[in-house]
Formats: sequence, C-alpha cells, structure tokens
Amino acid sequence: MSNQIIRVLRDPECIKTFVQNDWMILVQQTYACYLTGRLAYLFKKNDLMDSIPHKVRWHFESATTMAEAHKIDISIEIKKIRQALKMTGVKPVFLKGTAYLLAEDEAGRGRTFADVDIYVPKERLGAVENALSWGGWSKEQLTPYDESYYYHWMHEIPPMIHSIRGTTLDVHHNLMPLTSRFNFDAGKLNAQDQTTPGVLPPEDRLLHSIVHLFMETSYEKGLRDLSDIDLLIKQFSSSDSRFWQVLLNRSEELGLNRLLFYGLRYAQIILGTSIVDSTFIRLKDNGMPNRFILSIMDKIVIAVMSDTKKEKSLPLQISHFALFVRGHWLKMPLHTLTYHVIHKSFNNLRDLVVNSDK
Amino acid sequence: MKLAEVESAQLSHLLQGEGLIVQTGRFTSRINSSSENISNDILTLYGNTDFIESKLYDFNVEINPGKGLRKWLRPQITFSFSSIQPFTPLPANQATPMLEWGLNWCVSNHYHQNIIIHAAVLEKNGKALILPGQPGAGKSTLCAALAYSAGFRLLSDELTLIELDGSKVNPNPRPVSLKNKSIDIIREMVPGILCTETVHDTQKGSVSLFRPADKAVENANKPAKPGIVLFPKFNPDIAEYELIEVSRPHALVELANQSFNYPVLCQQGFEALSAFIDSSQCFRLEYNGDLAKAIEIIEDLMLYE
Amino acid sequence: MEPPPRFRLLKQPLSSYQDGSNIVYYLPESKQTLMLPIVASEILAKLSAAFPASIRLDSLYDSNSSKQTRKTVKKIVNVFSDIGLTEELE
Repeated sequence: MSNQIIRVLRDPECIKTFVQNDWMILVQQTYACYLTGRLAYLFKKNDLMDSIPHKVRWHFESATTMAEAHKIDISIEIKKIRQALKMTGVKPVFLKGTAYLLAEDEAGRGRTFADVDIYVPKERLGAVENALSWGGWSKEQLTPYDESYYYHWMHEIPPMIHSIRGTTLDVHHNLMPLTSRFNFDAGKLNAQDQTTPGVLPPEDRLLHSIVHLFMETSYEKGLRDLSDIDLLIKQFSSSDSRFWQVLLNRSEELGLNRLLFYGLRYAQIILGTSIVDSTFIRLKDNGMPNRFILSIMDKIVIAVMSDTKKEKSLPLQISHFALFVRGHWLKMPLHTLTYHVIHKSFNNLRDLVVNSDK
Repeated sequence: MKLAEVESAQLSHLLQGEGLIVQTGRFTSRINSSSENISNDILTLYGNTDFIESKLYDFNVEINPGKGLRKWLRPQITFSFSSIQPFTPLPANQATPMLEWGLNWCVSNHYHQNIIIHAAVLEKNGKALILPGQPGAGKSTLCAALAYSAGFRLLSDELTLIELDGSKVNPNPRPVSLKNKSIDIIREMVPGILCTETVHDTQKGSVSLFRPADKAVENANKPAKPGIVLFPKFNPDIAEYELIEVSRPHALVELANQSFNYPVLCQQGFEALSAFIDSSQCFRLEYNGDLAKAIEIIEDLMLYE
Repeated sequence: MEPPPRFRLLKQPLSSYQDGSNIVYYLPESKQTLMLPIVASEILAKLSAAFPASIRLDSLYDSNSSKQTRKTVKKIVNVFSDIGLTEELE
C-alpha cells in the first residue's frame, strides 16, 4: 500500500491528482496516524477542501469540528489550572499540545490530545500538588512498581485526573527524565515566551518537541509528532531570520545537539522540511552520530514513521522494539534499564514471539 | 443486484480478501474478516441491500480472530477501524454483535455533521417518532414491534441523526439489536423474520440481530420531519399504561444528556436540539409490556397535528 | 441592617430555550445544559439591561414579592454566579 499520508503532508496539493483508490488509502491512513484533523487544517489552509470528493469530505469536516471543540475544552482546562495554582503563586509553563494551542502555533491546529502537560519548578512541586488536589485533581492508583518508577526516574509525577471533568494533567518538574543521558538543566528553560505568557520561547518549544519524540518509547503517534516538528520549523524559520542561529546556540547550551540532529534529519528526509544547509554543517562535528549508528537509526526511524498500517510485520515489530529499548536506554542507568525493560516489555516481547506466526 | 443474490463463495472471497463493501445504513463500510460465521450473518442482515462492487466507502473495518497462541486456547475476535482497535477483544462467537457495535462506534465517534442521540427512531406519515431510553426502558422492543408489525418505517434502532438546523431526522437503517426476552417476543410476533442466531453471555446478555424491512433499506435517503419524542418506561407493576406530556425544556435537557456528540458540537448542538424540539411534541409513556396497547397509543399520538 | 449585596453581569446571555414555565441555558464553560424556572430569564433580562454596571439584589424583585419569590431569585443569582455569569461585589 502506498504511503499517501506522507505524500500529502509533504505537498497537500498532490490530492488534485488523486483517484478513488488514493482517497480510500488516505482516509484509512489519516485515522491510523491520528492526523485527520491536521490534514483537514492543511486542506483548508491551502484552499483545497473543494478538491476533496464530496463523499470523503465529511471526515475532514467532522475532524475540524472535533478539533474546535477540543480547543474549547483545553482553554477551559488552562483557566482552571491557573485558577487552582493561584494560591501557590506558581505560574505553570504549558507544554506540548497545550502550548501549541496557547501560542496559536500551526502545530496546534486540528490537533487533539488526551493530556494537558505543565512544567513547575521542582522545589514547588509539593505546593502545586497540594493546590491541585484542592482543585479536584487526584493521582491515579498506580502499582507500587510504577509509583517508584515515577518518583525515582521520571521528569513528571504520575498523571492527575480531575474528579469531575475526567481530564488528565501531567505535571512535569523537569523537562527530561532525572537520570537522562542528556545533561539538561530545567532551570535554564524557565525563560518564558515574549509574546505568549505560559509557554516556552520558540526555540525551546521546538527543542522540547524534538527531545520528546526522540526519547519516546512508543511511536504510535510518531508521524503526528514529526509533523508537529515540521510545522514548528516552518513557522519559526519563516518568521525570524535569526531562528537557526538562536536554535543552534540554544541546543549547544543545553547539550541537545544529538537529538536536534535527529529531529531535523528525519523531518527533512520524511516530510521534506527545508533546513538551512549551514545548520547540518554545524551539527556535523557536534551532534551527528557515527556512520554505523546513523545507518541503523535511518532504517528503524524511517520504517517506524512510515508505518501507516500498524499491521506489524516482523521486521517492523523489531524496529518498534528497538526504539522502545532505545527510549529507555536514554532515560536510565544500565542496571535500572535492564530491569525496567524486562518488566515493562514483557507484553511486547510476548507479542513479538507469539504473534510472529504471520 | 442485491447482496443476497451474490454467490456465497464470492462473498467469503471478498470478505477474506480485498474486503466486501456493504451499505451499512447511511454509510458504506468496507468489511474485512476471516471469521467463519460472519459471511452468513452479513447475508442474513444485509441481504436486501444493494451489492456494491467499487465505491468510495466511509469506514474501513476488520473483524478478525486474535493472533498468537491464544487463538488455540480461547478463540477471540478483535474489531479494528482503520488499524485502530477501540475495544478489548471478545470471545470469537460474538463476532457479529461486535461488528454491529463497532459500526455504531464508527458513526457516533466520527460523524459530526448531525447531532447524534442515543435513541431509536421510526417514521410514519413523514413524521419521526423518537424513542430515547436508558437500557431496560424497552425502547428496542418497542422499536422492533413498531417496525415489524405496525407499519412504521425504521430509521435506526440506536442512533438518531438530527440535521444541525433541527429540520429533520436522517435515516441510518441497520439491523435491529434485541436482547434477552425481547428476542423471543419479536420472533413470535413476526413468524419467519430474518435474524441471526442468539449469542449468549455478551456484555449485554443474549443478543440477536434482525434484518430491517426492505422499505427501511430502500428509503435510506428519505428523512423524516420532527414529530413525537416519546420517552418509554417499562414498568411491569403498572395496571395499564400512563401517558404524560413532557415539557419541551425538560425533553431538551434529556436529549442533550443522551447525545453522543453534544460536547463536540457545543452551542451548535444545543441550537439544533432547540429547533428540533420546538417542532416536536414530547411524552413519557409508562407501559407494562402490553405491546399491542402501546402500539395503539403511539399510533394515536402520531395522528396528532 | 446590612444593605442587600450588589451584583454584576460578567457575560451577556448564552443560547437558551424556553416555554411558559422553564428556561434551559447552554453553558459554554462546561458545555452542559442548565434548566431553571422561567423567572430566571426575567432576572437575566434585568441584569442584561444594567450590563456592565452592577445592580442591587433587591432590585431584581419588587416590594410586594413573596418571601418565596425572593428566595428563588437569590438562589438563581447564586446559580448564575456558580456558572461564571455574575459576580457579587463587595
């Protein structure tokens, strides 16, 4: 099956040449990749709604309606979170999907997501948790293993769920796992955006998005996240001529060149994002992995990101599994990693062995 | 050509291969399945729909046995929509009920062109009769009795689709799902009716699915005007029946609570329901299971102007 | 005796639907519906007329209103305040 969704993300105009079968593949793939709302936005922006056959259009119109409703839900949630935290004096920094919506980034258009993510300084965590529980949020029941995992290794506390609205809030006290192999100082990220209060400035928003995707352990929504990165790059680089310079300086300061390299490379290869040449030249000596690792990463990342059918063939499952282990490797010391991966991946491993009769 | 006229070998071949496109009510679905019984059940339930060879379809669904060792231990079935599996697997004998629930899920979760209410809906003289109801209220039994023995046209037994300007109800004629005692009640009431074998021990008890009448399927594009909204309540202890008029604001609140996509459509949904309810009359009917009597009352109500 | 509290309407009314005895509001904050006795619409109309200025609670009913009516009015104003439609001023 051809990969229509990546074609359309690269160049929405290509739908003008679509025949019936292309549409059926595209619709299937947009749902499978959680990108129906995103495509609807791209079609509207490029004035392409009329090029969609009538019989298919409703999928994209409904996805737009859903995204609009989602935006209202999230703005209500933002207001409630700010209200609840007022008593602590902490001004939360909203991250990921919520940040894109607040900052009116293109990456926020047509996108729906399950959780709201906020960052608060670690030393205020107790007060924040306390204030949130007054506001009606409470922590999910976790197994003792998961509980200790969160507290010892993670950059966030277990998800908090609002008792009435049922919404989920992820409270981060760092922007990377505590034991991460990347030396990342959350204190340095406190600087807030100049134009939108409550979100990171553009270069940090992009870096955070990249860090998240390339330290991920599950890539079910990988293509959607890569498309976020693509849209953020397009938006920031076209509105500020100094953007690449600022981004590179920032990435160096935070020690994130390796991940930045991956983010830019795969956005460029998979989605055709245009990246200024000098950026790669600068990352070549400081950021780019050796040729061996790069060729492995190329294989598995491209395979996993282009996986639009989730119809797991054995090689594809191995790629997914490799990224799963890698995600944990980046977050933990080796002895913990071994234990954790064995504990957490029991199901994956079992499926891998048991399901391989295909 | 109707689906029933297609060679059953060809149907199985399509289901197991490139997919069988079925007119599932208002929507078309491409169904893929290697499950054994499903081909017969599809014939039973959709035999009177047009056979579609190639077309833009709305939903791409698969109903397939779980993979791996488990399939030898305790066979299970999974439902997937565009490669996404929204439900946990069920025992393999529940393939057909799962397909039907899955198709309802496809509509209620993705179609926001209309406001969708969890209610049965039928038509007589161009007017809609909407039967919302909590499980156990008897809405499905009443709906089946009206559709199969009182000349009402079935629009849907589960999802009432109201146009956003509140002017009409759009049909989505699909198999009627009956549970427990009502299965035998309807089978006895309508001898020879086409239905699937009863599946026991589902989440909702025993389930059998019934093919909608030809008239319902043929008029799948013919909407109905606002008419009566009737909240049924099954109460075996009541002597005869009780019919009370419900105020429109009360009915509006109940319909909003029973709507799947009210939180998605927001104010637009509220306005659609307001307009619709404004041209409807609303009642609550408590009945003791005497279907003939209930039908008589409802027929009278439908004559109201 | 303390003077009756003053109220202010924060937002103009929402979508609503009414018959002779009840009114249903659409609440954008929670996306829920809220049904109140029809007198709520009269109170809202008075508040709207004063918008954005504040008015005293006792101006929402007249001098010969029963104790029951006054109680109902007070309750409704409280509901409005709960849903963020009005605010009580010091």
